[in-house]
This record gives sequence, C-alpha cells and structure tokens, in this order.
Amino acid sequence: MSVQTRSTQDPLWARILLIGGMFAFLCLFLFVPLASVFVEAFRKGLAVYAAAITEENARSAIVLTLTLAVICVPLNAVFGLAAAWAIAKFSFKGKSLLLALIDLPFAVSPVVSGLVYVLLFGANGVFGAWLQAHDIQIIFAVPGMALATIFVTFPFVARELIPLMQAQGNDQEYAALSLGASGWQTFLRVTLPNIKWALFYGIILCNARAMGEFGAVSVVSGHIRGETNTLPLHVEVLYNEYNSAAAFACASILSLLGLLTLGLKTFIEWRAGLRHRNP
Amino acid sequence: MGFTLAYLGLIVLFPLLLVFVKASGLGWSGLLHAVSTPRVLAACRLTFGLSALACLLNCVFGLLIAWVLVRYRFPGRGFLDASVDLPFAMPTAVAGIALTGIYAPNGWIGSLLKPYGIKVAFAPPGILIALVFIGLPFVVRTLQPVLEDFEIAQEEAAASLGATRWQTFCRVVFPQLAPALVTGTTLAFARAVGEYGSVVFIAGNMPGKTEIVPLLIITKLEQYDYAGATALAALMLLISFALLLLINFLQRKTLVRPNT
Amino acid sequence: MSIVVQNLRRTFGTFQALRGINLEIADHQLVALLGPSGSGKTTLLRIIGGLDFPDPGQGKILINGEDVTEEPAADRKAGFVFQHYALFNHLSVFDNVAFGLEVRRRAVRPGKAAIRDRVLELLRLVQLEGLESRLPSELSGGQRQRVALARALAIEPKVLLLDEPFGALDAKVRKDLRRWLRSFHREIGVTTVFVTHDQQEALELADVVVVMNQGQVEQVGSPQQVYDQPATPFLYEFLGDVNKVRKPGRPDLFYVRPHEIRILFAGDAEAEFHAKIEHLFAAGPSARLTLRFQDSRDTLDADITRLQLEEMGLSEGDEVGLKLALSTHG
Repeated sequence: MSVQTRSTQDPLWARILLIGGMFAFLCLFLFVPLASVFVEAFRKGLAVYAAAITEENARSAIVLTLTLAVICVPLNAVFGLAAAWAIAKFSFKGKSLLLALIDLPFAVSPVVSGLVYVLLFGANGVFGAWLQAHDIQIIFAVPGMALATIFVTFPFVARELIPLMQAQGNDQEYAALSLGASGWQTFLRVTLPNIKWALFYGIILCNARAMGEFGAVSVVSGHIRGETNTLPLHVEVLYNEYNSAAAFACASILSLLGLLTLGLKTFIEWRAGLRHRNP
Repeated sequence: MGFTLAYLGLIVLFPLLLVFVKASGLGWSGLLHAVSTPRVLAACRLTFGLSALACLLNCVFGLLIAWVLVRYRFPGRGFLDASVDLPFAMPTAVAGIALTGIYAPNGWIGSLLKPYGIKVAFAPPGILIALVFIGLPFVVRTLQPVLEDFEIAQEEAAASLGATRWQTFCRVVFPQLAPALVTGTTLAFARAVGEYGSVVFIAGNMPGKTEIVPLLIITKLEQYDYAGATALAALMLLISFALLLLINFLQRKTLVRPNT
Repeated sequence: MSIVVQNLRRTFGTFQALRGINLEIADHQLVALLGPSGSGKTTLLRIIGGLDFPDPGQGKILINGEDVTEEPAADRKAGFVFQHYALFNHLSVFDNVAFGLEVRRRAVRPGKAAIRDRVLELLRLVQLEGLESRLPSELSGGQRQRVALARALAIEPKVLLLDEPFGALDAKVRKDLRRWLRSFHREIGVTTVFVTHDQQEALELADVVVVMNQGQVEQVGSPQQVYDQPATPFLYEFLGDVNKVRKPGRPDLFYVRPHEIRILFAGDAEAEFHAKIEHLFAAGPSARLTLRFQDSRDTLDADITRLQLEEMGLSEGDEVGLKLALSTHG
C-alpha cells in the first residue's frame, strides 16, 4: 500500500465531499434496495413470511435450485481445474482462443445463452425430432436448465485459477516429479494445496451465480410451477401475481445467499491475502 | 487437455455456432428484415443507449468509489469495500424486484418523486438505475488494483515540481488510470446490454418504449417467431464477440503497461 | 542557497526516525548524507524537500535564511530526484522535463517557445539531446536518471535533492554517472544534497560528508576528515574496512585499517607481532592477506601492493612480521 504524506493527500474538503458522495451513491444504489427486500418480506408479519417460504411450490423451487447447484458446480469446478491446468502447465497453439472462449459466457446475454439450448433441443430444434422420438425431454425440464446453468457459470472457477496457476509456474511440480511422485500424487499434494483458496473462491462465485441465475433458465424452463421453477423464477411468478409479500419473502432467502457469498468471499480474501478480484 | 476441449466444445462453441447457422438460414435479406422492424430498432436504441449512459455513470462514480476506497481511511471502509460486490453476488431477479419496489410510484423513493411528475419505475430512468446497479462492481474492481499499485513517488514528484493536487490528478494519475477505466467500463457495458433479470421488472416492457432487447428475444420465442428471435440473438452475439475482443485487447494493453 | 536544519525531530508511530538534527549546509556545496538503512537520512532529505514535515513544533528548516518548515513541496522550489526516478510513464521525455514549467500559474508560466528552449537546453546539459519524444520505458536506467535530473532542474530549484540517485544502476553505469555528477555539479553550482548508503560513493563525490546513524548526526566533515579521523567506533567500522585487534596481554580492542599494516619478514627486528598467511587474494589492484596471529587465534586482513607482494615473494603458509599503526580507538 502506498504511504500517504501530506504532500500527496487530497485537501480535507475534497475528502469529505468524495466520501460523502460515495456513501450517498452506495446507499441509494445498494443498501436501500437490499434493505427493502427484507422490509417488504416481513411487511405482513412473520406468519405470512413463514408460510411463503414453506409453501409447496416454494419448497420445490428451493429443491430445484439446490439440485441445479449440486449438478453444475462440481462439473464446472472439474472443468475449471482441467482448463487451468492445461493452460498453465502446457504450451499449445490456440491458447488465447481458449482463454477467449472461456470468457465468452460473461459477454453473452443470459437470454441468448438460454435461446441457444432451445434451438438445439427444442421441439423445432436441431435434435428436436430425435428427442421426441425417444421421448426425452431436455428443455422445459431439468436437464435443459442444468445445461443452461452450466453454460453461464462455467467461467468462474477457470478464471480464478488460470492467472494464479500461471503465476505459480511449474517449478514445484517439476521438483515433485523429479523426486519420484506420480502425476496424480503431484497434483494432489503439490498443485492442489497451492490453489485451494482460489478454487474455493471460484466455487463460491460459481455457486452464487448458479443459484441466482434468472435469464438463461427462464428461457429454457417453461415456467411449470412446482416442476421447472427455480427459486428466482418462483419469485418472478409470485411478483407477477402481485403477491409481493411472498415474492419478497423468497427473495429474502436469495438475498441471504448473496450476503453469505459476500461474507465467504471476504473471509477467503482475508485468509489468503488475496487482493481485490475482478468480477 | 482433451477433456477441456471436449467440454468447451460441447457446452459452448457448438451451441453458439448453431445460432449463427440458424440465423444464416434466413438469408441476408431475411436477417436484415428481422432486425430492422420498428419494434426491434426501438428496443436496440433503448438497450444500447441506456447501457452506454449507465456505464458512463458507472465510469464516473466507479472512479470516485475506487479512489475513496483505496486512498482514504475512515470507519466502515472495509465493510463498504466488500459491499461493492453486492450487485455481483445478488441474484438478478432479487435486484429487479427490489429496485422496482423502491422506485414504483408507491415505493419509498418513487412516492417522493411522484409529486414532481418524475416517473422512474416502468420508464427509461428505472432501466437506467438497474443498469447502473449491475455495472458498478466492474469499474470499481478493475480500477482498484491499478490505483493500489500506483507509484506514489510520481505524485510526490509532481508536487515537488509545483503541481497542485488537482493538476497532479489530471496530468499524472488519471492518464495512467485511463486504460483500466476503459476496460472496466467496457465490461460494464457488455453486462448491461445483455442484462435481463434486473431490468425486466422495473422496465415496464412496453414495446417501442421500454422494451429491452433481451426481453424482445424472449417474447419472440414465446410467439414462436424463431427466425426473429434467432436473428436478434445473432446480432447480440456478434456484439458480444466484438466486446469480448475489445476487452481482451484492452486488458492485454493494461498488463503490458510500461513501468519503471 | 544555504540550508539550515535546526533541532529536527520526526517520529513515525513509536519509531524515532530523527532525534534532533542540527546541520548547516553552505551555498554551492555538494553534500552526502551517508548512513546505514534506518539512519534517517532519507527522512531528513524528504523533510528538506517538503515531502514530509517534522513533528509539530519540533524543528525548523531554513533555505537561504527563510523559514520554509511549513511550506508544502509545491511552494518550496526544491528539486527532488527519486530513487526509482518516478518519471511520468505516459509522458515523453520532453513532457516530463517540461512538467514543472507547464503546471505554473498562468501569470508566471513561460510561453510555449520559452518552455521548449529551456527543455532542449536542459536535455543538452544532461546529454540526452535527440531523445525528447521517447517514453521512459524506452530508456535505460542511466538515461532515466538523467531525465529525472533535468526535470528537477527545469524549475530552477533553490536546492537539488537526490535520493540514492545511483542505487538502482549497474556498477559500471554507477561509476560513470558518479564522475558525471561531480563535473555537472561544478557546472551548475546548485546546492546539492544526496543520500547514499554507499560510503565509497559519498567519499568520492561529496564536498562534505554527513554521517548519520539511528536518527542522529555522527560526524560532519570533508571525506578525508571523516575517513582518517573518524569520531566514533561506529564511524570507524562503517567507513571502510577495519580490523579489530586485541593486543596480546591486553584485554582492550584496537582498530586498524588493512592498509595501515606493515608486512615485514618474520625475522625483522621491527616486527611487533608474528602471524601466518592463511589466505592470499591477489586478483585485483592490491593483494589482500588474511593473517592469523601466532599468539592468539585472532585473524587480521592486510592490504599490500602487488609490487610489495612480488618483492617479498610471499605465498600462503608463510610466516611474516607485523607492525601495526594502531589507532587509539578501542
């Protein structure tokens, strides 16, 4: 950190103005909306809140959300590890293309991501006829939603690991191999411990996005209540029915998830001494 | 390695290429026709225009926030620093209904503005606010590392040469922050044009007035206008690719910055 | 312009960086602030330059008789050259040097042509003409250093302050620049203070050497004075190689420099001590002998000329006699 002396300090009035401006902006754009979720959730009292989150459709939505997370996060974690491993430890042509591809879901609208799977597996899609013939339902069902979720969340783990593994280089792995460790042993005992915080971090972000994803799953889900509604989609349904108390009640659960994610993120940054990360 | 490529290919590349293949099935004239209807054009103007405005706002406030968080010490700094990631950690639908709730005519802030005839929710200003919300972390987080690593001796040098703090900021610090600022703003822009969840609740979604492109794509899908939806999606994809290339280029340029 | 430092104190938290410094630097002098890390020399330099300030009420800085203690750096007109140059990376060499002139208030800012003339003249002075449009990243370390110098001189400073100016450079470049700085200083005549931990550099370059240790001034004098007549044991050890010797039969320690030891043949009557050559290092301008006393187990380093080595035909394992010009410090 830079050491400030009087010669490089901004004048007091500037500091007060800027800090005040920041507070105002953050309150307006962040804290007031966040607070409103909880205020609206409990507006009709605790009983209504409890009923809203234990209602049958809400419960299936929660289960579905968790299921998707359980499917997608481990898969993307493994992919992220593999991709980071390949990029950091080997040199091959097309590396930058691979990197760009990994970043792709960040730049693509979630709606387009969902659309892609409808085009592939929808009734009029590429595989539509084949799927119907075999009575396999992908879109408007859980498999499609899983695919869409995997698409939008797969960069997270990879993006956290790649720069770290690149910076760490191969020396330690070579040392292990020269001492007689097998490839697998090297990975478990040398590589993994070095990246454990970044991996954990990437998994948390991946999970937050997987559970909170809205646009992509909205397109492929079909919005079948009790079956293909994740919690975010359920919130939308409730809100559009003007059942705002219930909508905010469910939203408050998701908000808690978001806050938990932030808390874990801060904890990891503190533990691992990481600097600020790019979103 | 093979696993990586297979996974990527299957999950990402193939489906995206498909969009282009399908879109090209329409033929050039079909495509052009599909994306130039008044409704589509209005949605594009709205989406791109407001996204640009939103990321300009994020540029200014993001710089301010990053500066305050890195340079100043005050109680609650750590907490506020962590909270900048809120838009990123929060599910978009939650942000959407929260913002709508507040800025609706009967909401906390909406009701304050109603007597002045200012409509925020269900009007473009509401969309703008949602887009500013989700783009905020991008600018701040891209700037922070650059600010933290900034060679304070350069500011001292400027001071010893007679420059005021403002002159030092304008002539020495800001020009060297500019690449990171542009990168962050571009990231925010890319996110804003594609954003759905945060915007769709507050927008009001009136065709021609407050309908954003992602919503239009969904509407077309629901109406089985696959051709129209695909054409529009292809357009969005092209823009995404272009932005992605731009961002990568900018990031590389920032990383190879000359340093003493 | 003269610089006077009175009773300066500077504390960082619980660490006392400067414990009451009193110093007078005459106009036109080239002064070295020499000392180990943590001695406070950089802190002192920065306070003189206005980049830092003494503890409230604890000391004064006078430049040319004026009290500038509370003046910020921007008003003080003290040219500062930083250890890592701190060049503005996004600006060309020309713009870097012109910076101090460009940021002046409109009333005192020279016209564009005047600025251009001054910048080019300065670049000529530091032997960097032709490089105006280069960026700092395109320059070598030595070139960047000279740009930093030109930039500091552009504002016609009252004093010039250099923080470890050659610290980040290769040995050869350092030597060349040292020579160059000495003649440069003679040419421009501005009172110059530089900080270094390299005693060779301080002794070679400066008119006056100020040796600092742990926040205090240990000695002020010409290079010769400080080397030949060190005032304290710390100075003896810090400036140049030194041996600590115990005279057999006496418990106290004596200091003697390697070149102050006379090597005689073992049988010479004048020899005060006898020792064996344990190691001989002759790949250099002089020969260094590591000697072990016969009576005690102490060792000693002695420097003799290559000529003497050849004339006496010495080699490892030989026994020699020593006559020590011991100083009275112990």
